[in-house]
Amino acid sequence: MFPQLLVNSLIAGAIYALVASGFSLIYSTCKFVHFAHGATIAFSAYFLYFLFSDLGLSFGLSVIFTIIFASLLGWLMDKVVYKKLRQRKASKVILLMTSFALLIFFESLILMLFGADVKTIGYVKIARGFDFLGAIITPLQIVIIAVSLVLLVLLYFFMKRTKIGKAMRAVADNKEVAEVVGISAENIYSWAFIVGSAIAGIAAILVGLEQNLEPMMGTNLMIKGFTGAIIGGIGSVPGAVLGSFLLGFAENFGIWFLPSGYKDAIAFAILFIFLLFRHQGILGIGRNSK
Amino acid sequence: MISAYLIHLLILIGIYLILAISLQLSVGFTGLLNLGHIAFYAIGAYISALLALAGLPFWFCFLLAGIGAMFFGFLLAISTNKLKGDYLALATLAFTFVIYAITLNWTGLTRGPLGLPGIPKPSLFGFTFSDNFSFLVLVFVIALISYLIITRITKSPFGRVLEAIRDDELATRVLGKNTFKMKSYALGISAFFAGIAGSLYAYYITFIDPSSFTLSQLIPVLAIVIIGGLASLKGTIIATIILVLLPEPLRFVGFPSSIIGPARQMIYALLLLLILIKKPRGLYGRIELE
Amino acid sequence: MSKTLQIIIGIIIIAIIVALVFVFGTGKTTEGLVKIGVLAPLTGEASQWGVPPKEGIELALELIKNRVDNKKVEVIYEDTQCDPAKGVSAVQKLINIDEVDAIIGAVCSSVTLAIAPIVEKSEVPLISPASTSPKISDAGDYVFRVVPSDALRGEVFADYIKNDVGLNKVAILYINNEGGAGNKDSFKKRFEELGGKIVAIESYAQGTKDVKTQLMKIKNQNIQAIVIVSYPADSVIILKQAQELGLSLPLYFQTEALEDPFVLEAAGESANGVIYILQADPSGREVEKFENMFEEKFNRAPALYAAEGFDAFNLIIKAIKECKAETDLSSCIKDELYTIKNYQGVSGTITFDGKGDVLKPMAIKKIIENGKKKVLMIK
Repeated sequence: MFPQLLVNSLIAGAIYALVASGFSLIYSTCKFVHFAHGATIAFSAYFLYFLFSDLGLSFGLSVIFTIIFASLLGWLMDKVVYKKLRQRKASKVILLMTSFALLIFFESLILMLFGADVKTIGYVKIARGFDFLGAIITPLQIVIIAVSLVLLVLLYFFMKRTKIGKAMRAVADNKEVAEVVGISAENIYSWAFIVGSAIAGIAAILVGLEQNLEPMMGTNLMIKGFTGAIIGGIGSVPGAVLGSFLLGFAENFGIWFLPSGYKDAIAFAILFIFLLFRHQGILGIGRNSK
Repeated sequence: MISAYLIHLLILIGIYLILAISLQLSVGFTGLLNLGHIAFYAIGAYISALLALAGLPFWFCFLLAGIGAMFFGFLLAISTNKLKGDYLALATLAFTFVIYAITLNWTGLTRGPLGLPGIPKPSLFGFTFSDNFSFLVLVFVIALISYLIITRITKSPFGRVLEAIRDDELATRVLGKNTFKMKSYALGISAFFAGIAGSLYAYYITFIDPSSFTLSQLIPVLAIVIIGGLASLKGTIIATIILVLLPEPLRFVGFPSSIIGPARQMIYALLLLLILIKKPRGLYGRIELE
Repeated sequence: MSKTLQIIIGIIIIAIIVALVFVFGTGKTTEGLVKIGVLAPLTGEASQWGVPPKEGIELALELIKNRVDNKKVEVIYEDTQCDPAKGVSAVQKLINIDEVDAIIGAVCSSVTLAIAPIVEKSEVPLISPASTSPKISDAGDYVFRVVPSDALRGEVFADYIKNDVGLNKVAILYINNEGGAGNKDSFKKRFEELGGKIVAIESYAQGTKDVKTQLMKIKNQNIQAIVIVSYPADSVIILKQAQELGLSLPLYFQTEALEDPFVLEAAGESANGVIYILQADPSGREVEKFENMFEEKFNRAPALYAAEGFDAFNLIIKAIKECKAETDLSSCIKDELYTIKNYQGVSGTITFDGKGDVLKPMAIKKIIENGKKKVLMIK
């Protein structure tokens, strides 16, 4: 049973990580909680459904368009809403509130366009998984785990090696200094949304295939992804991935011993304990609680 | 019979007013980004409902709802003492989730998702507040007393210390104030009023279940505090009226029945966004939180 | 106060005034007009089972061409989001502003329980198309429902599994919300009374998309079958993950979710061999006609609870037809509803008992393959 539990934890962790990494990238650069990231994921998943199942586009093409769509959606949210608020020097709590309003807006829009019933993309047929070291896993689940790990590596290099990545870190560390050396913070914020939302697009595709689509899927995904991101260290993308896996393990091993109704309680209790005793998360830098 | 409908709305305004001005005390006046307010509301509602169903008198259930919530407020204040800004917001949000998970899973006490139906109408000195008009009078009196007490607190020397903590905690501590104690009092008092608001809610609706105390209930209350303007009680009152009434005119807009639900929600979200973008400091906001 | 703010406040105040004028202007002319209010979660997580009854009602309204006898029928929809407080606001508006003659709703039992005292006091009859909590039986004289209480379903299913199939050891997996917990309780009580043993009980939160570990915990036990209480969206997840994990235990679904065409389509082969319980549908021309008309109007098959919405509406219309000379239409509708016996609805044969609960025969069905179903037994 242990191998299966391990695999279940890895799958759950990978899904949380896909949500958490994009969210964390945006948080680390822009320094506010973009809860509407969940809306980006949900809307993109429905967009994939629309292209692939309704329009009958090829799967490869649908995937590419979905990722572009997600990027565009995130970029637009920043451009149309958040940027205006920053110009008016709105505080973080206003931005948080705004992201809630955006979430409500997009979830209602999905409901209006696609209806309330469950949608299946139906690209992967349901079949028994294959045995792998004493556990059962499906090919799609392997892809999910692999993508989340590859994404972690790619993001690491993106932040360390590319010009935009470096600029993002500079803005994240100290916006004023970054602007003095000629980095446009506004530009970098846009980039953070484009890259972070592209990851949301990838998450949307994989989660959509694994879990089916519902208008409210964004909120549910976001609550767990956000928990993983904070446990790992809010503002650190590798931390977010690590925290998500830790959350997956804690939940699945936790309910092996406790009644399964406590699954969410375990997640939130860990979140609370981390915030109390190690609020910078696993990988966060101890920047004096600010 | 339009009056019955208006009475209902006024009762809701009264309950939300207590909830919002008490949140204003911790967020606006003390600068504690407290997202755990709905948890205190839930604690108050559950304590009150359980005691009332056990046959205890109204005044006792009502006061114990406040005191019980205050106790949890102190607990939360003690445990999150070192946290600031975003981390405090996240920890208190996690607290909301934990309380929700407890009310859902501790079925022996709360009946879990089945909820607590049939909460009796309150009675005081032999008079039963069985019709909504008398209940409105009760809510109005309690809301007025709450408002007066909180106004008094904010204008007292204690209130000025709280504002000093918000503006510069370090300097306040240097001046010899025990900021930890002051912050705990602020959160405790804030929780007390959330608890009594919860008690009134339970008595009014006569049925409570865990789903009445989730993130989606926090959003309107937080929106009231932000739109009213931080540290403005006058703004809070106006914002409470606006936000409680905001969905009502939408009921009279004749949407086609196929999109009626999502369309109203979208307009609600758009109005919220519009207000946030146009007035990022709220109606009467005096200060900003960073 | 800035100008924009004044404008915003102004708009809201004007909107309220317009609304009030509208109400006072039209509220008086209720002569020759029948108003029916509908309460359902049209947005939010519960909308998946709040929208179908609304669609059933829309179809029923179209079929009577908005008229009953010489009166025009107006239907007013309000969204509850499955939130008791929002439900109370909506019902206050329906009763006091629109002055509806009858209400269809709510969908979530929590909302139905919260609004029951209000409809009771205002003497407006209410038919819920989907609330299954046993507590609703005693919620009041004016409260009816066209779905059987969880108590009934659990008992019948436990009888079937213990006595007809002959299983003694089962595990339960249920959705941890009001419907799930209520069904679990009633099944457990009856099954244990009959001498069966419940070896394990596992649950999952509403909105969960991962029950692999719960299924594994159950798989490890010495049991003969799994009894599942779920809603449409999570039924698909459970079937899918059970299949992926190679679970070979028989699955018994104590829910009508499997009747939902979306579920069958999404679950595909993984649903083969599954047995489930639901109210017996009076197979026949009426049902077929309903399904065809629904498909024509909405371009898809009716989802779960669409038929219940359709029936609830038609029952009210039937009652109104009987109330010709009555002055107090609302209480006449209530009285007429109590006299309903063996009404052939599209969701089953409907008879109301003295508590406004529906007495419907239950059917045990099995999914053979490709979404084809077979009725095993009517109880």
